[in-house]
Amino acid sequence: MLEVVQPDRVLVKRLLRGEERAFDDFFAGYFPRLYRFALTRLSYDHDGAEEIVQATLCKAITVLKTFRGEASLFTWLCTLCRREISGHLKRVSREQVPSEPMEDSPDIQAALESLATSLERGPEADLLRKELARLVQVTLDFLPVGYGDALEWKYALELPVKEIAERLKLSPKAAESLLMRAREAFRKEFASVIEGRLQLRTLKT
Amino acid sequence: MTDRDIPQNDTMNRRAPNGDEIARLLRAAGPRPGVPAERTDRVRHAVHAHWRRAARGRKLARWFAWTAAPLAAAAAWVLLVGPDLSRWNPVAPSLTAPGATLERTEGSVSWGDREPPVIGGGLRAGTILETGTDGRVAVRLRAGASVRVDIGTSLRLVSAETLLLNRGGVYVDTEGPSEAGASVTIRTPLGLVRDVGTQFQVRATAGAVLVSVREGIARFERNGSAHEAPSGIQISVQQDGSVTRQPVPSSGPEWDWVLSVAPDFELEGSLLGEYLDWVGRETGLRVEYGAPSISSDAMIVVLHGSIEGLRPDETLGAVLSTCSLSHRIRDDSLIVERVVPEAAP
Repeated sequence: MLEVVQPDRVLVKRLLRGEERAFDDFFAGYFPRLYRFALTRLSYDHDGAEEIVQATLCKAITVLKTFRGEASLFTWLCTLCRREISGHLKRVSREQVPSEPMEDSPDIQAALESLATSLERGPEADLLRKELARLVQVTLDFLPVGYGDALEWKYALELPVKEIAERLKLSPKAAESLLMRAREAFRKEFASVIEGRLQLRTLKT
Repeated sequence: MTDRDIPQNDTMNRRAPNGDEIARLLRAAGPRPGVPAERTDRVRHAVHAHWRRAARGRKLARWFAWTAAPLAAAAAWVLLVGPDLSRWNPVAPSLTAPGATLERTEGSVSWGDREPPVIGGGLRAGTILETGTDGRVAVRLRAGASVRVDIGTSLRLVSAETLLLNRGGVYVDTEGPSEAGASVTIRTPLGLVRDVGTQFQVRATAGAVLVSVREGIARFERNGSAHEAPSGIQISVQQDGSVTRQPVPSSGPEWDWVLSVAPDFELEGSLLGEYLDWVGRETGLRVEYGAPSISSDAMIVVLHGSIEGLRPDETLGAVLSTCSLSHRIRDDSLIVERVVPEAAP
């Protein structure tokens, strides 16, 4: 019987073997997303986010052997990042309350109602639109590597499929297939975000 | 959560967006903010260096496991003064391989009837060295211990683990990888000094042996009795066998000469933490970090350049300034701090 090895576990194995290309893939695929993850939780303190993410990635590399693939690699990294953020905030004894992203809030339902309404009416509630935009971007970050980028290139930047394929080093047909899977993944993931269950979903492979 | 969890007759806020809605959402949201290139480069550099070291560490761990050669660390300085040992019968040298490697010399040093060795050259068992009024020597025993010889010293390399100290002072530091069970023995006119995982100094004065311990324990043995000196203690053994103890600081004038003949540290490619560990070990100071982030940086910042020829304590200002760090010494602590305070959020 063949074992299907998850892409995340393949990447981890390659990293542990010391493959230089694996590091490139790892850093390019996870650093920007983790940075945005930390930034949001540090009240957009860029210096703090840089420090935290650097520490998180180094910690991850140190304990990489413990990654078992039960959660996605990004979820695993976010867990490590949360600990770093928590420790950081305790150390600096910040008086300000650490920012709690909407997707982490148990009171998301009321806000979601407003978001949905503002979307139907059009761009009038500027603050809510911005929060919606952020939720969309958070959802993209939580998709598997490559999915978020592909959707962003396609819809936010309106790049042609041919160029998306070149960026992903895929054939146009493979790029279309990836976009289809990415849309499906986004659809499900965003539904979870607006239902306030992002934290629970991060445990899924 | 699946689609079945979302009632189909709900409004959009409970229904997953369809393809067109996804497009609308993504267009409305716009591209995700990128990370400034400078920050990306900095983090990438640091994380990559850490990853390379981790990979090397795994390879080294496998090598050590294969060879069954565990890491051990100790240092001792033994000061020995006493009668002429030339009438002793030293342990017959039985080694054909070099018992030690010459790491550094300063001033006038004679090597008995042998040709002066070159730096990096081997020293065979039986080698006698005598340092002049300005001479000092650093050697590395085959078992891994660092031995430094002070001015006015007469010393014989008996084996890779045993030294015969006729007069003068010897500092021993068994830091770093060493063979399992290896220890260093200093034979003196009044008895043996053995290291038990230490940094210690042995000095022979007229009719007495002084054993000063900076870290760990050194044991002095004579006529079937043994006296142990823990860190921060100096024991003085007199000709009549009496032993006295007194405190000795781990840093300061007592140990200053050790720094002047310290083997060079390979700075290029080393981690900041490794460098600070080396300075701490050489100076006897306890390294403390002024902020937790500095401690984190110490594990990932890679240093470049050379500090060849400089004493460990002379390198701090130059090296730390390249990392926007400074240092100060308070009691027995070397405190490392940032030059620019971290920006408040």
